[in-house]
Amino acid sequence: MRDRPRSPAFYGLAAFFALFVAFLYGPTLTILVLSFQGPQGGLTFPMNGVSTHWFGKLWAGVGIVDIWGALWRSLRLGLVVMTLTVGIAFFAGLAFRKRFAGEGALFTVAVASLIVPSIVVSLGIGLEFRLLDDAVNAAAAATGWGWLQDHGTLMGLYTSALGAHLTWTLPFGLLIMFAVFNRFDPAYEEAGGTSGRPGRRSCATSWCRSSGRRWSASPCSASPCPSMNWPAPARPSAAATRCRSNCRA
Amino acid sequence: MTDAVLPALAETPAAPAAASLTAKTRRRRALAYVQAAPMAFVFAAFFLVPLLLTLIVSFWEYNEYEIIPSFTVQNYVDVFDGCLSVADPCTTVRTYLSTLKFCALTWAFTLLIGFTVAYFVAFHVRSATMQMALFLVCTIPFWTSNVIRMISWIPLLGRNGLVNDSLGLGLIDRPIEGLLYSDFAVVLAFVHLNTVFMIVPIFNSMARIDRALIEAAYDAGASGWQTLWHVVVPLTKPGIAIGSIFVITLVMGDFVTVGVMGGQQIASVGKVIQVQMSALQLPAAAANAVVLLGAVMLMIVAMTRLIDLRKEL
Repeated sequence: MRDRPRSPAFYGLAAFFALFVAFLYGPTLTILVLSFQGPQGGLTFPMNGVSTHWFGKLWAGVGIVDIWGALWRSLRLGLVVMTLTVGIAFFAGLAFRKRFAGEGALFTVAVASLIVPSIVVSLGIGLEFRLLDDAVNAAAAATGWGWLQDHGTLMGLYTSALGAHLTWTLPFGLLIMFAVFNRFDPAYEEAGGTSGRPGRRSCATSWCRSSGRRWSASPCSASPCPSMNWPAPARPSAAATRCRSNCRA
Repeated sequence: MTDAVLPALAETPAAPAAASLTAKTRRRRALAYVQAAPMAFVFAAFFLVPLLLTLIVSFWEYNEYEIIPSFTVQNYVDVFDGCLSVADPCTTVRTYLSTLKFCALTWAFTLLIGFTVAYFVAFHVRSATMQMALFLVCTIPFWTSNVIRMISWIPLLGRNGLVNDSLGLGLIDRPIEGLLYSDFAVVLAFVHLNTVFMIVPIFNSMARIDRALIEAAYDAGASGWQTLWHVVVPLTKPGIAIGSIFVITLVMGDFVTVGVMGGQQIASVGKVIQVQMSALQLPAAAANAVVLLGAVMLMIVAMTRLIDLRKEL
């Protein structure tokens, strides 16, 4: 099939693909072009002069919303969601490589969390936090404890909003971890385990092998090791550092 | 899992190996629970409990200020108020019909486009590097926010937009109204946003098809269309089903796209829920959410009847 000359279908499909890419990127590119609109221009063609006027305005922070505050908040939330997703999904992926009661249920819930419309989940989380607030208020009224009074609300960027994001990112994280771990030969993990140090070290070994590097029995001291950007242990032990240096490109 | 091969690997005397194996297995099992616990906690706290609370609160009463624990089916009665009349359908039925129409149109277009694009990349692009590059080209727009990608249609579709301007060069004598803020705009934006959810699973299914099967079909004298219809399409079914589930649930629950592209004039089920939420009519919103969830689940069950997904995952 590969050595056969290209069929007419190829050219038709290639044209379709090109059209699709234009459809996908075209509108965003027009926005890019229009952002250099002159001071009098709006969100329409033709261009009313070319300038960086609107970027200047954005930089100055003029507008109804505090753009830098918003950007910084989004970025921080994004970083927290990313870190938690990678960490939680990584360990859940490891757990699924062993047997545990309820693994089917957990997988079903993860997939269901992708399928249930986001508005339903959002409403549910909103209700949950509203009821929690009500409960805290009731407790404050009943006990009269000072630290419970005027607590405001438990809803927030790093509570309800973070949780809502995780219900959407974790299933993707888990499915990707499945794909990654499936490419691992379990024998590497086992070999790491039988040679004395289960856990971190065998993980490093299989990471090393699966990324196409060579694992040597003795640490390399001469050349610096390839960076291993996988979740590092909180306190890198001497053993962990040594076992990283066994991985050679 | 593979614990059984361990004694042979370790080359230790049989009896102690068996004893330490059970201890080891037990430790591995315990470790699995610890490793799975964070994910289980997140899904329990932010998915299962919220869904359960939604179901419970949908039977509560409410007034302007608060929601009141009780047991009433009034919220559901309100949702379906007057829905038995066929001649003059109630708001709920009309809203669902409108949302289902968007759903069907978006599904048809994303399936056609997604299948064609995935088929081209998987079967007509020959080098693996090129395949990966083109696949990335299709998925990169997905990195941007949906709202930004929606808004970018406005300068194109507006009354003085690019489409009307370029058609104005002799093709039409006055601008086409209703390009923007119409059903057309909504479907266009849905297709633009969601085709990637079709491409990825379909491409994934196609990548797993043994190329020898295509070769065999060719050798047996099948035409290109016959190979496509009798070999590729049946083997791509799981990808089509997964993509369809994504598209259907995204469109059924949407309220942002319909709002922005419909100029806040078109009703959708998600929008009804969102409006009731902001009016603090939470039990009413919860009842609507339960009905929506039921409708989506019915659609998915109907689709999984066509294809056994579990077998394919």
